[in-house]
Amino acid sequence: MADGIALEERGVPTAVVITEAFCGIADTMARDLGVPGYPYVVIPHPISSLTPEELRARAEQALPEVVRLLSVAERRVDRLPAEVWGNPVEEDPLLKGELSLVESCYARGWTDGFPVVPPTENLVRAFLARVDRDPEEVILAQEHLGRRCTVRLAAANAVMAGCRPESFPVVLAALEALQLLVGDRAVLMPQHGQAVLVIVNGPIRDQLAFNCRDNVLGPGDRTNATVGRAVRLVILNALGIRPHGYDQSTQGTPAKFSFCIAENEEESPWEPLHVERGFGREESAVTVALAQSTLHVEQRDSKQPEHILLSIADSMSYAGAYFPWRFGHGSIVVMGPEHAQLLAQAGWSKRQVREFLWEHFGRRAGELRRLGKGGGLDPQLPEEAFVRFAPAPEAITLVVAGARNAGVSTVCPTFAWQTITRRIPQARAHE
Amino acid sequence: MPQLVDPTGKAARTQRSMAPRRLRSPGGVRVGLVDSGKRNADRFTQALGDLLRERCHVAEILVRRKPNPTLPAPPQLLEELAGACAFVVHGVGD
Repeated sequence: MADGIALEERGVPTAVVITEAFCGIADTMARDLGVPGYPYVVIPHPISSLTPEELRARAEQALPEVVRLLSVAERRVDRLPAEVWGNPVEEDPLLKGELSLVESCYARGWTDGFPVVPPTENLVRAFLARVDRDPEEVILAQEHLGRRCTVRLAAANAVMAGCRPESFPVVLAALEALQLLVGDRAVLMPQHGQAVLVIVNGPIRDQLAFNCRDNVLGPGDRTNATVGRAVRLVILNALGIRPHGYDQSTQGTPAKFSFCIAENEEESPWEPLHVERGFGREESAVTVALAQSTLHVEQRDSKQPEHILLSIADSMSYAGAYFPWRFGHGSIVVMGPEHAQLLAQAGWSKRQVREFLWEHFGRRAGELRRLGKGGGLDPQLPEEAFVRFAPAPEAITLVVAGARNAGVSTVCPTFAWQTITRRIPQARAHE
Repeated sequence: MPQLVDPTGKAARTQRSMAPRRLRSPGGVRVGLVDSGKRNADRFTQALGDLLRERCHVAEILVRRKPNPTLPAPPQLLEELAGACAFVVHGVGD
């Protein structure tokens, strides 16, 4: 759509062909780019599995409308409601009283489904006072959507997420890392529904009461819950990437509500993630990664390092994680402290662990073919050949978190395997 | 009721126009075909190109593939198409 509108602006009549599954996103984009109701040609979804004959038939179907759109500039009726996500405010007296501000946020389509803290001017100002930044500075943008998140918008969303003001520098650092991670790529809106994982390291974990131990991926700790939620609310509100609009997730994941952990540096036998990335142990840093889901890994039957690592690598390599695309896959391994300590006691360094996991992250060609996933493979590749899913050991991010009470780890599959780490500046003192 | 800060980064919403339609058909002119880079988009646009030649007597087809299907086409590509073509067909958004 963006290309079609850019060509129209250059004076060239353009016919854009889309499949019916993308009408919602096309209408939203047309409105955002200033041509509400921009017409396009719709063909049945999908086309990726069609034979050449079927594709030719689709092209025949599309031809009359293509030719018509090239000769007639007639807009569609913009059927999008004024607020795509607005909920009606019920005429309940309670909603006009104590809950009126909360309900007002729902009515304006500003929430993730849970209630938010109403972002009043006073609260937003208090958050902005904790950072040494120009409120109008843009820290995260998706230029292809014409969307920009300023420091002020980030503050409003952090307020809504329920953050405390002193957590705001962490949210900002995470958003800056996210910008470096995604750039202008449309990786925040794909069908495979990427969640944004935020990993916190350094002294700030204790200062702000981040949880790095039991239930690290679960509910119960305000700082984890609200910092992770703030990042998602920025994506929903400031970037406008919402369900039923730009967010094309086929199913999504609960991790898209909030997904923030801290590393259990005290019980990890290895250097923390931020130290591995060149920061000092006494510095605080945040790492962001994209991930599709979390997968529980159970291995308390054996204490042998190879058994633990093969169980983790096998979980990283489940059939559904594989998609034959040229950039390869990555994985974020959230290793439980018990697994990490057993490995370290047997003499395994973090680098050796990552290399072993990389070598075993994949499936045999024969298995992929049996699953109907061998399409991208060289037909000459023997059945027993091992197909590695990741391009390099660096595609595996290893972090230690959780309680030291069982042989349990978690793996998070990802298509975008790079992760970015940023230093977190100290919050300014309360005035 | 206290004033709330709008947390949405509303798009600029500068209203833009569509290109004027000066020709009634693509017959006899050069048409640009942009392949979005999505799977099978190349075959679909090629089939459409063949039909435009056979049925509409398009003079010439200029085929270009987007370097990255998830990003807007680079400005150089748009300028090239705008300079060389009377019409453009773009597909497939999938």
